[in-house]
Amino acid sequence: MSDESDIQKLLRLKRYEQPPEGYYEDFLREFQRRQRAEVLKSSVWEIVWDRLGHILPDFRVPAYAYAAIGFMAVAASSFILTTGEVNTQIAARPSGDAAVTFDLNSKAAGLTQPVPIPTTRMVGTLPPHYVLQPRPAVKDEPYRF
Amino acid sequence: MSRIGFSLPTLLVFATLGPLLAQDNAVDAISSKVRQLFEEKKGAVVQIEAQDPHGTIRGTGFYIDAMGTLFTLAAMADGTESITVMANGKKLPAKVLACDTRSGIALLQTQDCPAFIPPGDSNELAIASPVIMIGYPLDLDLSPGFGLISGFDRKFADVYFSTTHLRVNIPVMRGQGGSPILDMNGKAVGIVVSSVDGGATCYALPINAAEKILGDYARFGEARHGWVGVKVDLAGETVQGSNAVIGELDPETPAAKSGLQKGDVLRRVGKVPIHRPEDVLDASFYLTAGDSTEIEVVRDGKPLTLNVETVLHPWAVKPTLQAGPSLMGN
Repeated sequence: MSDESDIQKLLRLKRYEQPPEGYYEDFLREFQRRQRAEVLKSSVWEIVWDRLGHILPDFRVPAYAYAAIGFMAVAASSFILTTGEVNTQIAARPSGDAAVTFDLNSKAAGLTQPVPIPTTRMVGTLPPHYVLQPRPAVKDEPYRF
Repeated sequence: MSRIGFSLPTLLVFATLGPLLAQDNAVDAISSKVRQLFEEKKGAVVQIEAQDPHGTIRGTGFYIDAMGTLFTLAAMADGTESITVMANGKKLPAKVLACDTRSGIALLQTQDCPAFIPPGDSNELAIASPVIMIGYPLDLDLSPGFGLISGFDRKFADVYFSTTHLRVNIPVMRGQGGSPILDMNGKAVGIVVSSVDGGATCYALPINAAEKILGDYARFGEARHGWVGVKVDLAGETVQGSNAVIGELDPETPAAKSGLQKGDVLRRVGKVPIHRPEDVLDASFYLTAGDSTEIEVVRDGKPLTLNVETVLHPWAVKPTLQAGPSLMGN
């Protein structure tokens, strides 16, 4: 019986207990601080990706924008194909190795002559080629004569 | 006693130093001989320059007679122009006498000839024969090299050459293509045509093969490789020392017209004895179109000798495979 009365006294005391003043405001601030700290643990790209994931589903592009982008792509391709071309020739040298020459003719750059790219050896500009073959002359069918 | 005590240590010293001194003497003797040959023959070795569609190319060559005839690589004369020879500090214009891409060499000629290297006999070479090479590496001065004949190869990495080549264990650099290989008597026994394994060693065309081209030029004004028209197979058994059997024979070939038959076992073609199918490689190289060649065969167990008049090698019409892309760029 005495135990029961003690418990009732304690419950009455607890009923009047209150948190300190400003506790709930501090709780909210602390929650937000911890939330920011948690977010900042992620990389910038993860944050951006996360933000985009939230924004894009609600983003609506007008239909004419797709048409405009497609038109610009077609126009750019046509311009490149009609105004510039690069010819590559791989010629076998008599000494055995391959010499690569490029002939770039670009109207877009306002050029009327082929432009030599410095991968081709030109007389007086690049060092000479010193001959020594990688193997002796070869016979294609050794058992025929 | 004291005399003996003095003599024994002296003998021991001489016994120890003797072989070392002898070794030094041998090295000195080789060095002296190489230096002597280099000094004697360097006037005959020249740097050759030409223009091809891609620019300037340079290689080595050497005079072989007093008329100003030079041996060099075919690459120096095939599709090039303005060929010049730097001899004795002078730039001499050279003309192409013959260019044979089957052997990989060319014959040039200049009006002046400061010196020349007489040809030797490459058939006299053996494994470990000492040889020297004189050539122009890159844009460096004329340089000698000393080494040994380390092999007589018909193929490398399963690819057959036109004929047997000398494998010489002298390191080579770009620009030394066309250099002479000399025996210790100062005679030319080979021409450097290619590097092996990045230049650690080199292949040289035997001078006898080069002389064949020179002989053709003297007779016909061009290299004329002969053709018989047979395909040789490996026989199931060896007959009188040979297992090279005629496997194919086209009806309109010189071989068929001469009476050769499928199944004949080859024993000799010209002067070259045949023991196995690979041997026809050298036999073929030394044939000259238009010449009559003796071919010895065994038919039904009996020896038979036939004369075949060879025609121009089909290769002369349809060029054979040439060396692939060079490892030696600019």
